[in-house]
Amino acid sequence: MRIPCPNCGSRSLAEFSYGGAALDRPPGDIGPSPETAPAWDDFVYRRDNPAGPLRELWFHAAGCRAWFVATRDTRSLEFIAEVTP
Amino acid sequence: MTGWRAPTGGRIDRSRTIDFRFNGRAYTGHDGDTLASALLANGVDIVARSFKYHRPRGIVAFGADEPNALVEVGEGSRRTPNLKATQVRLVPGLVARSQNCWPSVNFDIMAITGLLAPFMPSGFYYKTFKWPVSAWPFYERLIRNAAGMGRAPAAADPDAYDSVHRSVDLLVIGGGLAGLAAARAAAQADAGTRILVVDELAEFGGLGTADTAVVDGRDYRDWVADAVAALSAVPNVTLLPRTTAYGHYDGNLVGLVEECDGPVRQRRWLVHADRIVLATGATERPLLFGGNDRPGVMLASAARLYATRHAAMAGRRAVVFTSDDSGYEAAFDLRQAGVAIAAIVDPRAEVGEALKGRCAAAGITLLAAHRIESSHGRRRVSGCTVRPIAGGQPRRFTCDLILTAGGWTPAAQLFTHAGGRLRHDPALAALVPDATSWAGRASTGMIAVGAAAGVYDVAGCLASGQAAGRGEPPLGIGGSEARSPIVLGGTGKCFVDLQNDVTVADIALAVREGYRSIEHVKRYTTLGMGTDQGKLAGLTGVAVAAAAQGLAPADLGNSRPRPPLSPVTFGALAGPFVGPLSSPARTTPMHGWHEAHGALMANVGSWRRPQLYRREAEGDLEAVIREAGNVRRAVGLTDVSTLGKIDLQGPDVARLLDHAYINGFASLAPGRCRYGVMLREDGMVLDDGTVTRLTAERWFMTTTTGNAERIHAHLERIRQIDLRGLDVTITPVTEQWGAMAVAGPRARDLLAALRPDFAVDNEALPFMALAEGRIGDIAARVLRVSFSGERAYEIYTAAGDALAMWNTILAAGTSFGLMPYGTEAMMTLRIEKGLFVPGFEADGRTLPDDLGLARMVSTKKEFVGRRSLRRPAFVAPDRKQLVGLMAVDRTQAIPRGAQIVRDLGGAPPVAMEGHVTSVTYSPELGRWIALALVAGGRAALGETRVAASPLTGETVPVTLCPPVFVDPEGERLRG
Repeated sequence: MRIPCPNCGSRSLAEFSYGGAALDRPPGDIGPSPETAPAWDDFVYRRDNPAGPLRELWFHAAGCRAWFVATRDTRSLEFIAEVTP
Repeated sequence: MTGWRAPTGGRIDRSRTIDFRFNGRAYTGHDGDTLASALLANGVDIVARSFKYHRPRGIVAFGADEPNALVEVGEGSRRTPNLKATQVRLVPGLVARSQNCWPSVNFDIMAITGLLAPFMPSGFYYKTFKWPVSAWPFYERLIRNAAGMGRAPAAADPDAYDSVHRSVDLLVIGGGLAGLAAARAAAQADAGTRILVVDELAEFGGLGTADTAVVDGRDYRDWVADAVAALSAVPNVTLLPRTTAYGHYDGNLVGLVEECDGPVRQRRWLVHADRIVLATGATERPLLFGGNDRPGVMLASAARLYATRHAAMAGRRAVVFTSDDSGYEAAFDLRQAGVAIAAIVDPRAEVGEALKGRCAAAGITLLAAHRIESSHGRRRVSGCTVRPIAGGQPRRFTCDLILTAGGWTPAAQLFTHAGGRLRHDPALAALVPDATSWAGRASTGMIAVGAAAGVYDVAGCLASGQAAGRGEPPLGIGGSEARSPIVLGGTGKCFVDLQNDVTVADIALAVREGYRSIEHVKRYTTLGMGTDQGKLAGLTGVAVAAAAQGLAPADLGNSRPRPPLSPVTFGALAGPFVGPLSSPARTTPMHGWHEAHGALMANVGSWRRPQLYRREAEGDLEAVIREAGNVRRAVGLTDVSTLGKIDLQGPDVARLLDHAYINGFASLAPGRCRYGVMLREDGMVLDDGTVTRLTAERWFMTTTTGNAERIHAHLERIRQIDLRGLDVTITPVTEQWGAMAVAGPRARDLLAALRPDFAVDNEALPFMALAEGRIGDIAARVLRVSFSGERAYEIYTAAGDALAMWNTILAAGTSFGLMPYGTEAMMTLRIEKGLFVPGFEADGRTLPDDLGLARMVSTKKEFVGRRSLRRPAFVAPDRKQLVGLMAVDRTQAIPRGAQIVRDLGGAPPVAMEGHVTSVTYSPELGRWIALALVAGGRAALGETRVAASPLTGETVPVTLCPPVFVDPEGERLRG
């Protein structure tokens, strides 16, 4: 499998670490509150497992050390959209 | 013994005779033979016993689809099990053996299981060997012995293997007519195209096209020679014969195994291809009848290939049972080669006039609308019974060979590996690759051409190959006339899967018992689960299972083949990366010194670290006790170069650290260190270490040895994703620094004796402070931190200076009683101090509070994992908490990895309240101690539990105590 790094181009999977779905981290307001808890639980635990496009984070560990977002179709494992640094 | 060698013909070199042995007997063959062709030519008809019933079996097929002729080849450490005789090249001195028989193929004691066959229905193992549960290991051993899976060699593999990575624009799998046409068209369209063409056989040209065929107005052999010469002349084209594509993996990655001669036995290729053309041909289907497993029953195409390629004749007199026109061609060719054709039996009512005429001209009896009902013969075929499809009087034929030709199934396994779908084509009565599988894909999918796409005529193969080579969309498959019906049975045992002994009756029984999906029928009956992966049986099995449910095969679908397509040796998969090359070993600057001084080295992550330094007449435990005790009494020196080290620079480092650690760092003054703990977003402890503020904007972080890369990625993620815009530069510097710890009550005296150009007294260099300067002529960074609970200093130097510093300290340390200590003593010291370690205590399920770190957790800032800590389950009082353990009987050891239970009374199952995470003998306390995670442990200090180890059978009463066993006030490390 090859992964499109925004800096280095298409490189082997072996050079990357996976960072999971590219979800927005809920804003870090001080003090946990019942109102913000569901959003946090969604972020940490209740993640979707779509059969189809998934935005996800990759780290080019054995390369430029960039974290970037790429969209992959989980059915075909193809990267289907431009990556964003 | 009815096989024979024709005096002329075939592509064998009769001038070169090759001696080989099979089942202990000597035979001869010729250069160009396979083991199978040589056995046929020598008249060897029984080559194996079947898997379950131990029935005698002969060679059925010509290539990878062979289900019966499984052999062990070679002897001693080169013995290779599970090879198909059809794929073993005959080489001088070859030694091969049948696999599934004892004591011999001709007299097999286990054949008695054949008499028990009525009592061994499908699902037999599930139904029979399940009680009592404890007896399963015994049953399993018996079954495995009876099933003859081949024996792996006991000694190490003496051969060398190679491994190659390659990226190409076009990979052509299969070098027959369609594959060569595709490669030529692609090279002609653009000579710069990087093309790799692979074929299983030593010669290109494939098996599907007869030598007598005419392609582009030329004899096929000449056409192939031209194509190979033309392709060889193009620099960007690589032709790889004797190479099998065994699997397609994500991202158009294809695994190949190349058979080699010389010092390398096999070479594994991993090929990334932009485009893949699948030209793997087709597999002939057998037709079913009673006793269709008797030696002498063979695929018509296989008998034809043995005759034309190897001049090896499988018999003298054949009945050809065919539902496909290709069976007639085989019959004509074999007759030409000297095999009498007793009859052609065709279940179809309509047979083409041309074929009828050729049969008549050759004087061959043609029985249309007939089928073979059963074969006869004791050890091999001696005749068969034929009956009209519509019923009526049977006819018996005497023959020593029954050839079946049930039409062709595209060899499309790699197409389904790639995620492609197969569709049932009623005209071809076969599953063919569905070219629409790749609709909506971003990249080009795999394109099947020629027989692999269900195209069986010369012109069609050529055209489909050329179109695919030029990158044009695949051609449609013509024809609407239904042909090659599948004949589903006869009288007596009709085998669908010869390798796994699955009969028509077994499949019918599975359907009656409620198994509907072909995937379930497959698993229940073991249909297609042998090493041939059901290449012969697959489609027939689907048809039988469908018929049993009153369905058409198309409605039942097909089971999905998975990689590997054919067995791959472990050697090929491992390649040259065995022994010391199996994983990279990282060594510290002091590695040579450790080895020269009796160190017992161990792997810690990718590092090699000294566990302990052995002295003469000293056991390992004694060495650890001596080293750890010396740290407590005098002073020790240990190599900590493996610690992860990260250099952090910029105005926003404090913000980054505050987000990464549970405790605050903004207040840390330059020249000071602080201990910190990191969490994951789910609140679990990730790592710990120290951070030193060197100057206002320059910081130095250490991580645990095993987590260095992970923490670097974690920090980069915070910088690049979570807190975008921070002005911080993160540089991993683990390899750039050597590091050693000097620990013990006399550490400061020793440090002073090294005459550093900085002050080391307790005011100038207190606990958790930094000093930088020179020790002798070596620049050093000294941190007053401790992992032992003693007064201790970590000394960092440039990696190139570390060994000199190490030796300087050792030389100066003699008068202070200095001893080096290894990781075992280090563990003893930290367990005595109750210090947790990621992987032991912090095992990914422990929160800061579980480890007694609640007071460290900042309430004034956001950090990774903070908002998970509030979860109700994470504040429950019965969470497993870190405690210390001491055996009630102070002479007893606490078993490693033991479970903590309340007491030993009561019947099992016993509630497990926790587990032992780390154990050591404490030289300081003179007894065994342990750290453990125990439910509600902190509220139960002083109580007694039992440490029970089911593995060793030990049960040791223990008392729960605070985890810090030595100097709980920390006076020693601060003094």
